[in-house]
Amino acid sequence: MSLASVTRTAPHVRAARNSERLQLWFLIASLPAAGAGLWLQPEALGPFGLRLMAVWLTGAAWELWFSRLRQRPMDIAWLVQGWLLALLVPVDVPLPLVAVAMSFGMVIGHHVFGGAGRSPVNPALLGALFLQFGYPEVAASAGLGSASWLACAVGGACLVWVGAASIRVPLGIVIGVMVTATLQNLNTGLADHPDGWRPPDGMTHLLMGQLMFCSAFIATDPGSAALTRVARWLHGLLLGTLTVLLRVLDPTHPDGVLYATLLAGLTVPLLDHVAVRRAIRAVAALATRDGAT
Amino acid sequence: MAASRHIRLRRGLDLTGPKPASYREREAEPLLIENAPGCTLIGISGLDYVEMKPSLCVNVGDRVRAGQPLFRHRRAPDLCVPAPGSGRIVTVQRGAKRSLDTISIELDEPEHLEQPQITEGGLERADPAQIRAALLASGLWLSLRTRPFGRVPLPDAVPRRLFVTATDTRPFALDPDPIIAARPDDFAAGLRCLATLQPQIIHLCTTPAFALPPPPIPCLEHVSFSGPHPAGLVGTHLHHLGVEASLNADIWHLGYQDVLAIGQLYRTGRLDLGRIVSVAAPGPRPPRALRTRHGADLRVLLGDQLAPDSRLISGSLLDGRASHPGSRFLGRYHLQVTALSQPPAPDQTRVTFATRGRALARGLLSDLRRRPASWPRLTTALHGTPGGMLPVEAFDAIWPLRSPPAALLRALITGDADTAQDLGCLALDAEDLALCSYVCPGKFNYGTALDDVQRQLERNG
Repeated sequence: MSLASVTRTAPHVRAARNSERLQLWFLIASLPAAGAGLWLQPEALGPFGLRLMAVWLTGAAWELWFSRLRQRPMDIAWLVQGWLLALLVPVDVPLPLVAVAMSFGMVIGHHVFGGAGRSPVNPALLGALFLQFGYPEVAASAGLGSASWLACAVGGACLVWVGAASIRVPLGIVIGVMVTATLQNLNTGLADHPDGWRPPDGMTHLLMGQLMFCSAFIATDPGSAALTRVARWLHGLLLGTLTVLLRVLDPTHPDGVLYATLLAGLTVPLLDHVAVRRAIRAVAALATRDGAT
Repeated sequence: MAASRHIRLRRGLDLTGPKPASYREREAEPLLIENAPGCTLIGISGLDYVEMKPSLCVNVGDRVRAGQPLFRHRRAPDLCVPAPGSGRIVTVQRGAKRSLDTISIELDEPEHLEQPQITEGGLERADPAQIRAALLASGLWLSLRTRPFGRVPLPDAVPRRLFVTATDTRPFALDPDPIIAARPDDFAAGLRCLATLQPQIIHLCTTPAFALPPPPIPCLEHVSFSGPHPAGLVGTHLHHLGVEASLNADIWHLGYQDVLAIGQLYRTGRLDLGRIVSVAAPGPRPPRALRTRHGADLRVLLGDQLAPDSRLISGSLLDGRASHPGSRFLGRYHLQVTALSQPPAPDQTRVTFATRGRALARGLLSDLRRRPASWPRLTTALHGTPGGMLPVEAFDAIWPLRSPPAALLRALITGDADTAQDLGCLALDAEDLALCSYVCPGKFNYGTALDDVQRQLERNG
């Protein structure tokens, strides 16, 4: 961070908010989630610390290499995304695998596209999914960050407050989960389960697994966020719906949140395209009305 | 008279908070306009006239009279830029690629603001061709600018729409109402004169408090706009009135003080070279209104208010032009002067982890407080390093148009001219995107990106 830089031309003043601090807020806001995880599993402190060091070293190495290659100053994305990845993956994943996951996430999900704001997916999510997909036996359980849904919710609220995240995505997720779970319960509720088992309701879905963590810190990442407010709503709705569907319909993935987040994230450019075309038609309609008068 | 239509905008941002008392409580007391100290040196800047190829009519050392042409447009010799005062040419400064940067004139009599006679008597009985010729000869034609591109229209062009901007929401802008109310006849005459340019419609865009009955001109439509900045910008008016801008650049606009000057020319044949500007500088004195002249020396206007290391801006904080030692004169289209503090220069040897940590902690606290820094703590600091474009909600919060801002901004910085055109970039000018650049966490300058895309669209037809 250079203290010296000033504006050269109009606008001569700029807001204090900058991308570096916006990214850093993701780390700060997820501190309570990490704290809650360590509070509930104090024995995880050592392994978690080791894995954090592993992802940070890997991430910093890639960042250094790419910043040299592109002759750009170093970004802090590796710091934040490494931290989020360490919170996403289980604390018993072997260290080399964590480093590989971080490499995959940062290179494929960040650097090849040119850095923050240019990549369509969140690097930490991509790294965690790489582990789940490639090594399902070691990456089956949830990470440390998902231990407390309350801490995640507080972190998400903080991100919205400082303007780093849009409230529309998490709200869309909540609505999507609630509606889909209710519809699904109405559907399966008709069938009589002999042992009295009922499918989980929307609230259970929301607080279960990694959904809260992903809603607060992964889906809201401004680096891969939607450009339009409409697409932000749709992104959230789709993510919530997909999560419930994956959980209910695919027994091999009891917590399908990471997959749902990736799939919903990949549709964002399409959702944006639809929203932008709609906006263009609205503006054109305004002009046509004027031409008629 | 109430406007036939009122448009209230909610989104936007007033950087300097509510207007200072001297501007707002004009019902209680009239707008206090002080006379500015007389300048000995005045000047014009070639940068005001976008893409005008100057062919000079004067040389250094020549004596010029007020109203005498200083240079002409090479492609349209009728289009000339007249001297804003009588005196001797001191410098003719060239900028990049031999563009004309500044012509400065040393005045004979600093206190004397002459009003040269352009035509015998008024123009009220003149035909449209004579009025056009008088506007061109007086240099008042230069007050017209096209949208898109912001160029002075060619002498034989005919506008489709003409926007008269009689509202101003820029930081520290003057309230136009009392200035217009003091010269109602000139304003009405100016509008009548503009009607002879034969636009389909003249859109008179005012504040809601505008009390003057507009003259009975068939093509005149009066609309009032209220809300935070950019509610007073032409781009916003165009959008909300559903006027589509095209590459023909047949939408013209001009400011209220130029309408007054045109009105005076129309009524009396005399050229009004005066300007009323707002002057704001950090310090104990509140912003004030000064009566000065075209091309006034900014340093004289600010006087002792100017701190030695501050940036002197002709125009507002958001869309003004920074002056440099050779060119520190009031721009043709600027109605305000602002001085802005520079952040303390960092001592490179003392940048330690502690200073960086303190800066970071201050930044995090300011994020938590959410309130933007307010005058007079605003500085020229960039507050970060250029990075990727992050589509945060802040863009939507300051954007009063129906098009999605982040989509437009990304189209501009990636050079996606087709999408940018679909999203209405031709109706905009750099000033309309100034607030977007202000809030951008990636510290982009979308105004320059817009210029590039508009040029690209023009080249490709």
